[in-house]
Amino acid sequence: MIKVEGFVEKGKVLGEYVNSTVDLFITGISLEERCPKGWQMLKEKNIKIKNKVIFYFKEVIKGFNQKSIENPQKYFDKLFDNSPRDCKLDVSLYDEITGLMELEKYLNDSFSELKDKKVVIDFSIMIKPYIFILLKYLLYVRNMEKIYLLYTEPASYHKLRLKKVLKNNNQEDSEYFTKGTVKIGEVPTYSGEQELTKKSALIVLLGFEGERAVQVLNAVSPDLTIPVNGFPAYRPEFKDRSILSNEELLKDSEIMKELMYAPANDPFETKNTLEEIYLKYYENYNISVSPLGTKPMAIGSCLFALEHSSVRIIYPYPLEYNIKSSKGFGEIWNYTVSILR
Amino acid sequence: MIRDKDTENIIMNYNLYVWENRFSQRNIKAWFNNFKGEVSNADEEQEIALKLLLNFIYYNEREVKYLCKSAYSIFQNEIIKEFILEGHSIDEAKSLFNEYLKRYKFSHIGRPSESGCFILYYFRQINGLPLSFFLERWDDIKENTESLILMDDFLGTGDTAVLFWESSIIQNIIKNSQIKLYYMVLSALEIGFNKVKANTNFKIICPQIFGEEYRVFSNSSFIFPQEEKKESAKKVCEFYGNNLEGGECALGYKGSEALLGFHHNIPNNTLPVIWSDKKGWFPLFPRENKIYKMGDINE
Amino acid sequence: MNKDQKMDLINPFASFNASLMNDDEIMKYWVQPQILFERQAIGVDLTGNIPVILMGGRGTGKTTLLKFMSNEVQVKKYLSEHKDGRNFFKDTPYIGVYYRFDGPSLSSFTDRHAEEVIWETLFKHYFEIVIGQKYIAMLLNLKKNKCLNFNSKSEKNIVYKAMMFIDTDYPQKEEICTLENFSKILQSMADKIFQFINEAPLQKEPEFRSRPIIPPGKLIFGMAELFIEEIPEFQRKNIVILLDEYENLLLQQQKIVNTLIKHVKQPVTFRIGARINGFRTYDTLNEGEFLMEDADYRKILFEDILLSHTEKYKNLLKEIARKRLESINMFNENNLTDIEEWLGNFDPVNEALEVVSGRKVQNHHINKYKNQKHIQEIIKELKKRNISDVEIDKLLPQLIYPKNTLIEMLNLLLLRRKYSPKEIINLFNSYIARKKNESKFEIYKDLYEKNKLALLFQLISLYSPKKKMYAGFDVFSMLTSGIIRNFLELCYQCFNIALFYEGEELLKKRRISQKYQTEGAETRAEKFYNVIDIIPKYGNNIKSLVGSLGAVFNACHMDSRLREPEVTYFCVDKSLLSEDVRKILNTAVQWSVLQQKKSMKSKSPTELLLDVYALNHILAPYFCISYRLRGRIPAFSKRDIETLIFGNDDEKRKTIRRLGRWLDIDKRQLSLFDLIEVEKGD
Repeated sequence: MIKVEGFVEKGKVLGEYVNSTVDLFITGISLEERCPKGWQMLKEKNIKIKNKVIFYFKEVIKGFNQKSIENPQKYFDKLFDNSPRDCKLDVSLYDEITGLMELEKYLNDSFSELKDKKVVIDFSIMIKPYIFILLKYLLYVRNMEKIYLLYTEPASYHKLRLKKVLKNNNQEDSEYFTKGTVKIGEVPTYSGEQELTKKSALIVLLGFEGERAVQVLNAVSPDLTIPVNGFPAYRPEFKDRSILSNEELLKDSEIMKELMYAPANDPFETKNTLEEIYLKYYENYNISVSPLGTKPMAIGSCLFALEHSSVRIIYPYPLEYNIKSSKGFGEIWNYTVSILR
Repeated sequence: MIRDKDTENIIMNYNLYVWENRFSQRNIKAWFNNFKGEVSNADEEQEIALKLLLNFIYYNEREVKYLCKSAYSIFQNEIIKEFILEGHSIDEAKSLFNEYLKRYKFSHIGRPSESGCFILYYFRQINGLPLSFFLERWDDIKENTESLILMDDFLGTGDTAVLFWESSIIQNIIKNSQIKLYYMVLSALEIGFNKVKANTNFKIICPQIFGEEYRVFSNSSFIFPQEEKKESAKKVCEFYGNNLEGGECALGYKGSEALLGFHHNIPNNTLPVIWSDKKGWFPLFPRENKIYKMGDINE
Repeated sequence: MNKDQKMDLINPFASFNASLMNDDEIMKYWVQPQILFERQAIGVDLTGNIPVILMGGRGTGKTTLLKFMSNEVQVKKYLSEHKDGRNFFKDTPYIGVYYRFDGPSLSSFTDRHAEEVIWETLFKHYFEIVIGQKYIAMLLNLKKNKCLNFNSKSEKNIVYKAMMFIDTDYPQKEEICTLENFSKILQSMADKIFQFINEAPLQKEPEFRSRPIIPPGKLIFGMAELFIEEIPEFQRKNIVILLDEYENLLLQQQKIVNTLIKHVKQPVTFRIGARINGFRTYDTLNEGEFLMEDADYRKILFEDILLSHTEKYKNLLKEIARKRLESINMFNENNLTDIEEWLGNFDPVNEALEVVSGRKVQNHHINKYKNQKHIQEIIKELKKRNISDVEIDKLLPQLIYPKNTLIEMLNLLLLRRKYSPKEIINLFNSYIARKKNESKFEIYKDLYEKNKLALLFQLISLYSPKKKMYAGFDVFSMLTSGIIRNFLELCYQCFNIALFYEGEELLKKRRISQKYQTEGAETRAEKFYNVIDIIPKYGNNIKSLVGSLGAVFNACHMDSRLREPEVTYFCVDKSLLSEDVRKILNTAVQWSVLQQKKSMKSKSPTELLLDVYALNHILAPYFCISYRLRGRIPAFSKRDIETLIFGNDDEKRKTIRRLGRWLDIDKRQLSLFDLIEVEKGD
């Protein structure tokens, strides 16, 4: 049984790893401008990084090829100052298990023991199933006690034209997060433990793709649905955009009345909100969480599920991710996660 | 008025999900009809009004309560970080915070009947804090009081906070003790935030800051990014605002150009075309008027 | 009205998803669908021995029905009607045990690291545990509500013997004694399964080591037999296992459950709720064995049954709506609980008059009408035949009928179909004079009745930008396509709009205007269309097909000769299609985007029976087409369908144009290119 603690820092990193060395830095590549920002911040603060693991997602490389950038591999090597000792994992965005297996191979070769090492993960551009399985692996299999997470907000997501958001229309090529659905499934290793005599409750962390929330709802058919809106949001108007994007879910008055909030940029407060819900309902309900909101909120749900192994995480796996779903970059957040066993 | 069915649906949804179902279509129509075409033509003016309406940030009751919670957790995080920097673990830091909380006092800025005081009630309730943490009188501040946290719902120009800082109450506290002073607001305009930071030693806690791009007619306005449209919109708002609230407040108190409001009230920093009810103007989000003596400061 | 009062005007249809309803809500909103329960005559007994498969799209009422049959709801219902539960068993022929197959959970019963056979065994084991737990919950529920009285000895015997089914060597099985303890043991077995599922992705060769593993059928059938042995009340009662969302099972999992259905043992029987095409297979685990309809199960197709009993279906909808309206005080106290009163019914004749003139026409002077667009079309047709202006002026008054614009449209149609003016006038006069003994009367009447709605669509297209109204209780019933939830959604949308625009005035008016009803229907249609692409795997393809079909159907509605009135379906020989296309069509049917109808003969006598697919009528307002099943486009070739699904915009346009070429579509009325834009949703 574990207990997760943590806190949030904006823009700077705490004393304990400034002027020290990071043993392992993990991130992935993306067409988004915020992709290298975490790495660049660490460099600016003269933090020495001994080893780097970068997920070179095939789909991103392909996307770069289409933009006629001569050698995307070289481009990212330069962006991240890769040296021969750094590890580049050639994996698919859509297969987090294989991604993890490749990472495991590298870790087995490079580290006899990871438990007390300083590990920093920049998850700004990583898709949620990857983040979930990575954290589970590091905390459960590798028994790590502390992990540092970096997250760079986007300056904006693609231009969300009001009418399109509310009409839920087909979006232009640059104006979508995901397309289609492969399946609504449990994130691997987060299947939870259902008590067969209990009813089911679904907590939905609201995002901008309301139709996906409805998909999850229909797939789970819970006895109780609790939507959680990201608030305060990155931008003040986003709180309304996510509510209106989820109109189809929230038009059910029984669901709307349960609406709760968690800050879009704070995984620990998100975890606290989920804890509050859990304490109220766990005796009579099996709890499922669907993290459709921001990535920091998803981290919050991940930490929550790590602490409560009965909780399951449901995710609508899309046919396609938009590998450039955001523009620019905003604040950088540092989350320090501690595990007490 | 609004002819486009899509837009009508959008407004209907806003009303249902964001504005707490406050309005009927009649109210909204009445507000749009305020814009009679006295500056440009009525259609153009109403298009501008529509843009303002759909970019108006409204904090409903639940959100106001959650902002109180959010503000408290930011405050908590700040204190805990200080303990961590001293070398404590997170768990220890949290315990220390709970201990030291007993040496903090919460109060409000402004008069007892104003919204700062109102917010305190929500704040106490939502965070489950005992009454003893809240100042009843200024002489409740004891020797062992470590920090004083002053609350308000909104920081606009910063005038209220700066005035309060300069007041004898606060100056006495500063002179006679080492009490740390916090100014906790639910939301703030960046311009006011910077003013308070520059002119006081308040440590400001604020979950939501509205940057320059949220001033409706600023250079970086995201509501009117195109210069020409911004200028004509500004003309319209200024004209009507001037008629309603007079020169300095035509675009919100001291030209704040804000576009936000709360369930319990609309700050006068917001454009008066949203809230004013003078001279037959139908307010969509009316402001609960305060009756002041002459010369009193607003937000 | 002040803010507080306004808040009381809640939309009575704001909560309508049966899957999300608790037992009390199921009971509160329950309306017995007599049409379904009357199926005994044809051997489909919802409470009898033979397994029954309930097939229907999402929102047809399967879950509501299955949940209603569960012991939890039946006990609650019984206790609400009787003093206590003492005679529950006497009055009840069956005990229902409800379980819903959870898709996300089932999809975890597979992982690349472990072999298929492990997952198969695990699922069988899991399913036994689940039903075992449901049985225990059922007994405890009955006991708690005093519907059943079994003593501790019986309880102990049941538990002991059940444990023997699981494992004869299970340690301390004699000490388990109570159902609660037995439940804990089953739960601990389930926990081992979850543990395995959670750990398997992180292991190279995961093995499920926990024992015992319950053999299939042991608890499901075995425990039921124990109930009869130990608890007299269970004698001559069926235990109905109500399995919902069968389509969520993976292929192999369905085979496992099919095997249980095939070899069902009394007193157990099954009721399976599944979407159409939700059965991936009817095979069992035994080679060459499969489920056979009539021998092994009976089937109820919800939409078909509901739609084939129009009046009963409408009454069902009225009752369902009445319960919703009654639940809101404001509506209940003011006796505003009749949905038919709220929606009214509208005559196409009046709608046509509204389109043309906005009011009933009073002045009969011919010059008033010459400028009307549809009259202009009549004049155009007459001119095509080289009839002089003078002659036209004489003929026109005999062809127009101000009281009924649709009659005028019919005369226009007949002109386009090359009837002579004289012939038309004769038929028309006979009809107007009501000369019922004349064959001309019957001919004209038949033409009019059959084409009335189609003519209305044509009329409206002439008076663009006027739009077709989709309003009225009867129309809403047809828009639902036999899916009850569609009706609730339509009501939700139009009440939403009406409450916003009219507020408390609405209660005085007691009627939602046609305009708001139409807007509600259009909103619902648009939402339905917009989420098609999120259907797993084939969503984009289905949306592409539907968009193109909508364009073609709309174009067909504009056919000046109305060779096929109100085209809303198409035919295809499915056996000629590629596997991909068949899967897409099956998925579209499964998600009720298309509805499969009874096969029909091709128009050519030598061709085989064709498969018939209709667009879900809920989409009618989106594509401005009819909501009835009247006309079809000619059989698609394999290539046509593939182009409409997989082709690029250019190819689709060409195909749609070619399909439309057999029709004489007046390009002034509608551009096909405009229609393609409909598909994109802009």
